[in-house]
Amino acid sequence: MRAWIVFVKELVDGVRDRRSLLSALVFPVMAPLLSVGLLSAMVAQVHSDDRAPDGGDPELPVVGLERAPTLVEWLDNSRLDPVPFDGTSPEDVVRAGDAKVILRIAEDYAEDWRAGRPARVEMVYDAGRDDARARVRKVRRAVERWGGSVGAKRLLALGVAPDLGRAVHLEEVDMSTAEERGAQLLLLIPMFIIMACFMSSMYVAIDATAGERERGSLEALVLTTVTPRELALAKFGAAFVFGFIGVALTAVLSVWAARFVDLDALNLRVAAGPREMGMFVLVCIPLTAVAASVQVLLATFSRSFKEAQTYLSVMILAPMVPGLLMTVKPIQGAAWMMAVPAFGQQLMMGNILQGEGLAALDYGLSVLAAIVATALCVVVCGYLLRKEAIIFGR
Amino acid sequence: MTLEVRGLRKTFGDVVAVDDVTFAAEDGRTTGILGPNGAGKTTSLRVLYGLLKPDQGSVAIDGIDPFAEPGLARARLGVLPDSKGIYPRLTARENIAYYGRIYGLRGAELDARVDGLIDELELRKVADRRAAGFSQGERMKVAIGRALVHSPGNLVLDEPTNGLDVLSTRAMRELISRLRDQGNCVLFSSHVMQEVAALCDHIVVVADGKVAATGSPEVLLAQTGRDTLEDAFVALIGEAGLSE
Repeated sequence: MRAWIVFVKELVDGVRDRRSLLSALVFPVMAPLLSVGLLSAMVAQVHSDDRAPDGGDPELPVVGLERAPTLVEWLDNSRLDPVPFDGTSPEDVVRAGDAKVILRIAEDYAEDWRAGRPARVEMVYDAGRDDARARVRKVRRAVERWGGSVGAKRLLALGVAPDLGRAVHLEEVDMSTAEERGAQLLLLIPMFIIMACFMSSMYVAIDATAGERERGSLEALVLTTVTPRELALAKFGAAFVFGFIGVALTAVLSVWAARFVDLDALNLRVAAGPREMGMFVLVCIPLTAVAASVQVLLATFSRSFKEAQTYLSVMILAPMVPGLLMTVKPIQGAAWMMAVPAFGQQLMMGNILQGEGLAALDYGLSVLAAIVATALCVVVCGYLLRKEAIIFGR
Repeated sequence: MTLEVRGLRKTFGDVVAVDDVTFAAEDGRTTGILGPNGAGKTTSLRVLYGLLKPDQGSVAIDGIDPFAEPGLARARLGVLPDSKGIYPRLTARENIAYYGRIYGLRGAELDARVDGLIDELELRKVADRRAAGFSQGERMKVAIGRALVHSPGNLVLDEPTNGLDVLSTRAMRELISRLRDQGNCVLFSSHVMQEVAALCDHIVVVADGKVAATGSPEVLLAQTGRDTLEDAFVALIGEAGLSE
């Protein structure tokens, strides 16, 4: 009951503290914006890469379209969608950035073609434009392939094996597909949610412990009938509530915001519905408890408010490590990993996003580990609050 | 006899803060611990309310050992400790009521008690204002209010007039006298001689961690053979200093 009274007071105090409130609320709003921004940038890049089925810049203007009907048909079949160029100067259009690539069929194309001379096709583009590169590559490859196949047919007509003309066959295997990069970016959402567990409870944890001592109200408080363990429990509870609100907000807003990203364009099958939001929040509850109790313990141990801030802002990097590692190298989940705070949550949320749901065993393990860690922190914190050096500062 | 300190010794590393300090404070009496800064007053009090464990000696609150039964002992003790911080984001009323709830007061009983204290401490005007903008005197009153909220019977005030202006100091002195007259056991520490002289029925002079003298003001005058209390104090503190 006394712990409850202290807990309620810490909540009121926290809500009235602009710093505590801001740090609990700013991050949940910022994180989804950030992850959606990054994902959208990735989608935009994919579109400009023209790998999307219905990606941007769909038309390929061709000057003198009528002079090369077979080439145009080939381009059409290659889904480059050739259209007659209706301007006067292709160079000006490309320079103005209104088109990435324009083909110009030379006036003497048909004549050269019939005579068996290389028929001239000009490709007008701006090599300085990064976003045009993929498109240029695609158009060039289509034209070259068409030239190659026509050439092969001519050799065949002369009774020569076409492959004789090709000494080497180079095949490109590009591993850095945008889809993979997109999938890695999706790891950001769990990572931000995990950070929210720590960020949102940080200020309350510090204010209720190091802050209480620095303001000189701790000595009087421990002189009441409230026990040190009750104090530790109450302060943990207040930090937990702030953390939980932050996490729930971050999870709900992130999943909600992810809907505005055209994830189909990344060929990502992402499960992000109300069910997933709920599971995210559920997954984060044990981590929030660990984050709150560890932070309360560290802040109690710190000599001052400032020192506590330093400790905790360094510590916040720790839960980011598994997420960052996974963006570099995918990790195959094992049962023991679920018991590691932050790491387990990262894996579980990854599974949820992939539509695999939440395994009861995984979750149970993470809850069990969190209960043990939290209880330990609260007990140690209660022990610290009996010590002269902690009550009076060092 | 309600507050008792016997044969107290407390060291911090090599520094002996308090050495063989013995005194007692009784009901209906104001007991003053007088001594220069650093004499060991705060240390003695912290041992008395069970925050510092003594190396030797014992303390008792209404006969209860605060180390053995902290809950029981603290329920009978109201303290204005060395650090007198209150919660700046809570109002005066909330600050006092918070402690009231911790001590188990609820509902109408709590409201009546907090209201009574606000009137008694003349905090009516600022009662529902957040404490962040309070003057030193107002903050001190709130801190006293929360020490009194559970009607403890035994009151320990560590330098209660420190940092107060003349008016606030006078109000504090009146409050101490009133609490004594209500039958409470009041123990307070101070380094101001006039204050101790004006308020105390019983004086404990502490210097260099030791008790230099105890007794009523008259006894101290007789003991030192001086005409004024100030001279008596200087003589006592000086003697203790020389004996080191």
